[in-house]
This record gives sequence, C-alpha cells and structure tokens, in this order.
Amino acid sequence: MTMRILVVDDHILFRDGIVSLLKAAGKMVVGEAKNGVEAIEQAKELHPDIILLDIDMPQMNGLETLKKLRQIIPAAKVVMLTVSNENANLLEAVRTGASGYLLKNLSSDEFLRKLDGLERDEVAMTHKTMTQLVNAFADLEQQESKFDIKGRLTDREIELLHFVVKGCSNREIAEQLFISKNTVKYHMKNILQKLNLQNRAEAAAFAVRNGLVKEE
Amino acid sequence: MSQKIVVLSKQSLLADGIASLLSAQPHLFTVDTLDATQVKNIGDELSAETPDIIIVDASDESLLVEVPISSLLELLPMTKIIQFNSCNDKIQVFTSEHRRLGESSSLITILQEAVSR
Repeated sequence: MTMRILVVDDHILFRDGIVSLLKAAGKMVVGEAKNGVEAIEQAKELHPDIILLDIDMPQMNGLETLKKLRQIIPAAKVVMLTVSNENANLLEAVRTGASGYLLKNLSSDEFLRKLDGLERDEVAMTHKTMTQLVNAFADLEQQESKFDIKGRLTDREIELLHFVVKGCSNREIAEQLFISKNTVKYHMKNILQKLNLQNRAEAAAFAVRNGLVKEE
Repeated sequence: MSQKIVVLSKQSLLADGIASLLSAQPHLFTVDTLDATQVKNIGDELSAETPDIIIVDASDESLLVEVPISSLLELLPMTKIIQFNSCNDKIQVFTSEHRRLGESSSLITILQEAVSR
C-alpha cells in the first residue's frame, strides 16, 4: 500500500523540491505545511502515514511539533528532515519518538531508500547518524553517572578530594581546611567507602577520571 | 531552445529538489546538479559544463567562501549566476560585463551607459 506523506518545511523552494522528488518517485504526497501549527491541523485532517518534519521553523519548531504529533496521531511515522546535526536535537527527536532523522545533505537516492525502509519498519537514519546517536547516548550516560557520583559525596568531601589530587597529606589538608587531622581521616574513610575504593591514590585517580576534580 | 542550468549546492536534497522542479519544464530547462561536497575542482567542472545559468545555494556560507560569485563571473562571463538562500528564500541575480579600456574617455562612456540603465 502506498504511504501517504505530509511534508512540513518553512522554506518554500526546499518544500516544493522535496514534493516534486517524492511525486517523481511515485510517492503520494497528501499535504504540505509551512510550520508546526499547520502541520498539526493537516495531520488531524489527513491522517498521513509519514510526516517529514523540519526542525527550525517559525511559530512552532519541529521538536515541539513532534511532541504534539505523537499525541494526536501516534500511528504516523515522523522523520526529522533538517540541516541540524546537533546531538541535542538528535537525542530529543529520538526520545520523543521520531522514526528517523535525516540531514538535508543526503542524496535524493538515499533519501528515497530510507523512506522505503520505513515501510519495512526500519529507522530512517544513515549509518553516520546512527553512530552519532549511539555516541551521544554514551556521552549522556557518562555525564549522568558523573552527576550521580557527585551527588553521593558532600561538598566538603569533594573539596577534600581536590587536595588529595594535589598529593597533600592529611596534615596539610587539615591545615588548609582549618579542621583536625582526625576529621580529615574521617572524611577520607567516608569517601573511600562511598566510592568503593581502597586507598587515596585510587580516590585521586577516580576523582580526575570522573571529572570531580580537575588535575592541576 | 532550453536553457542549461546547473544547481550548485552542499545540500544534495535541495539541489535535487530544485532540479526535479525545473525538469518538469523540459522545453525550458535542462538541469544538472553539482554536489559541492563531492567535487574537487568546482571551477573546472562548471567550465566543462558551460551552463547558461548557475543556481548557487547560499544557505551554506562556506560555499560562497570556497566559490565566490565574483570568481564564477570571471570564469564564465556569459553565464548568469542566481544566488539562492533557502534560509530566507531570497534570490539575487548576477551578470557580468567584461570590457577593455582603450583610452580613459571610454571609462566615461561606460559610466554614462551604466547610469542611464
């Protein structure tokens, strides 16, 4: 069955060009919209199978539009078609439920192949964008885990780690922080326990590796 | 006779889309596209094609740095250059006129002609 396509882009020549390409390839374009508001109206009325959605648009951008479209017409496959290869946009689109993310520098042959893939429930994404997505998720996880680690330590313990990384002894740390040597020992014990580490050398390496402290 | 057009862009989809639109008028235009990210020497490619019109996609400013409009006009003086910016749907048309000065009074004649246009 031929997929019914809605094209959403605020740039008239790009939009008309895509429509022309799709029609020449035998695809059925059921509607065109120049912004998110129009896209939602048309999606409600036309019930397209595929929505090609630009991100940078006036009135309502593509990512906001995607959220609304997912609620209004969840069965439709929404593919972002954009010049933006920023990780933030890619991650948000995928998390919001986009069925694909294609860049406008794609060749028309590959673009049409990716659309054909949607009919077989494939994700419309090039290998390059897929790799970018995996790396972006990995980076995000690392950042989140850093945040978790930081959340486990008190401000005082992180402050103390700065001195540990510098190679300061307990006595030197005590002097710098105006606390007793025993209090330093107490904080050190808690740090090692919380981070499941054996000694202060491991703590120093861990702090630098996870961005808790910058090496000077 | 149909006009020979080359669409020069770093966005293949945009170039292919414009080519597809114009190709719907085969009696008016024959259209080719040039992907600026794939071609090593754009000037050589364009010289070989000798188009009547070049549509340059200015939405990626780096293309205009790599291939300035002035260099295209110098290279292909008979060709019209249409600079198109898909970010604001703005079009600018460039043509060039090349003359050699024989004597300084020719400059005055050229200036008078330019002003009267």
